[in-house]
Amino acid sequence: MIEQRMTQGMSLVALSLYAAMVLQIFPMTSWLSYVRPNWILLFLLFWVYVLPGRFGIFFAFLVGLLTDLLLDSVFGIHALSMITIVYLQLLVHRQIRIFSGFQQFLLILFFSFLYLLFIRLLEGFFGNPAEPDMFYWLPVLSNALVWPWLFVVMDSLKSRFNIYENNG
Amino acid sequence: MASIFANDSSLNRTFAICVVVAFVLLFVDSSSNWLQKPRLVFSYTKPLVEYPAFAPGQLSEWLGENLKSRKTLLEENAELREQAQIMQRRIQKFASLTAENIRLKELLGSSSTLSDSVLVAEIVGLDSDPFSHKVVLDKGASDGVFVGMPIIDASGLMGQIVFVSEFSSSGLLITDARHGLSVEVVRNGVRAIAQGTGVIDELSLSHVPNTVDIEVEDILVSSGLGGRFPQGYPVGIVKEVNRQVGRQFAEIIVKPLAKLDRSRHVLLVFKEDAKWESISEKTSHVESADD
Repeated sequence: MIEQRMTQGMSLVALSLYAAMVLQIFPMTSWLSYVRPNWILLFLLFWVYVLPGRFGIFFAFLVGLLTDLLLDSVFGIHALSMITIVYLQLLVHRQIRIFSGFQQFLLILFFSFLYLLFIRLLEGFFGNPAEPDMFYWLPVLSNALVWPWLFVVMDSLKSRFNIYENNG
Repeated sequence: MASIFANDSSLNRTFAICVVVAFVLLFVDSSSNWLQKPRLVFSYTKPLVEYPAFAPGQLSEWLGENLKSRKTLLEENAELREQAQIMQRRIQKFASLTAENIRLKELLGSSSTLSDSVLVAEIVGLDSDPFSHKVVLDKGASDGVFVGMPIIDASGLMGQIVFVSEFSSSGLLITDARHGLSVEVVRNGVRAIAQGTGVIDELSLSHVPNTVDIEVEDILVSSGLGGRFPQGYPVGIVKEVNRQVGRQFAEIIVKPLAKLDRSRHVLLVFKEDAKWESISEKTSHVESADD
């Protein structure tokens, strides 16, 4: 029974990341594509948030490499940015657990800013040297605005699929 | 509480290892093409994600094309026939010009560069990052597409193929900041490097001295130097020339002629020479202009 729940849980994680990848490359009009949230990062942060014992740095690294593959960026750009954010998240995960909604909003704002900053720096150094305008930073806001909705939906899905910490 | 948090040192260690591996990947992938092979292998799974993402757009396109009324189709047909006639007339004129051109070139002793064969491809996807100008095309290695193939549309040069998998390929547009190509001014043959800026309707000419004769409204065509692009395809039209006395180089902004953000059907240009096979570099990296 527990085995079955585990595989169910893993399939939900995989499915949600798959959905995030589809959303990440879904064609949108040019204006909307500027506010597109970093879906893959948000789903990653969610899974690390709710199950920090099961999903950690390695998981983030894997997801980052897949993102690099999907977005045709130099291998390591998204991987390095994602593991850094997840590392920070794991360092403070006990404090985050008792954060209020607004504090979480600020936290996602901060993480998104750092993430985009890392991507920008690494892209400038290893990949695409384009100098984007200030619209580049719009996803910081959309990430933070999308986060509570994503959290509510995913959390209810998670409890329906009975996913818990394996040893907690 | 989960075991991993009993000691933060294991977390630190994992993080350190991953950072090192990521940096190694970054250096290797940005300075060599060793990782192109694994990228190619994994790219076979990409349609799993791309197909559902692009399907709604393609479905609506298909519906739009298939649910047109008979009247609109007839009108369109008549319009196209009229256009075809006009084109036909122009081609007749071109035929004699082409013959004349070849004759003159023979007199000059240079080889003729005309009649490239082409392959029609459709743009099925765009890069989701608005600051990276890449397109996904529906033709791949099975259709003979190769890395470095020029992409053109009806009005000008669009870019080149940078990655090929079996049934699709991706192209880098000339406006991407990673792209540069050699161009010449039609009016007087002045050569320059047109560098992408990351803005969809802007190219900039790098390292052009203040005194060079380039004016607004000048048309630029590919110069064929470097062997990547065939000579003579229109690239852009000069939009702005800023010459400042204190500066070493003029600042020249060019508007691309190809409809980079509107074309749906594009042409991939083959060249009979096997010369292009030898080109293995991913893109022609050009230093951006500094002043």
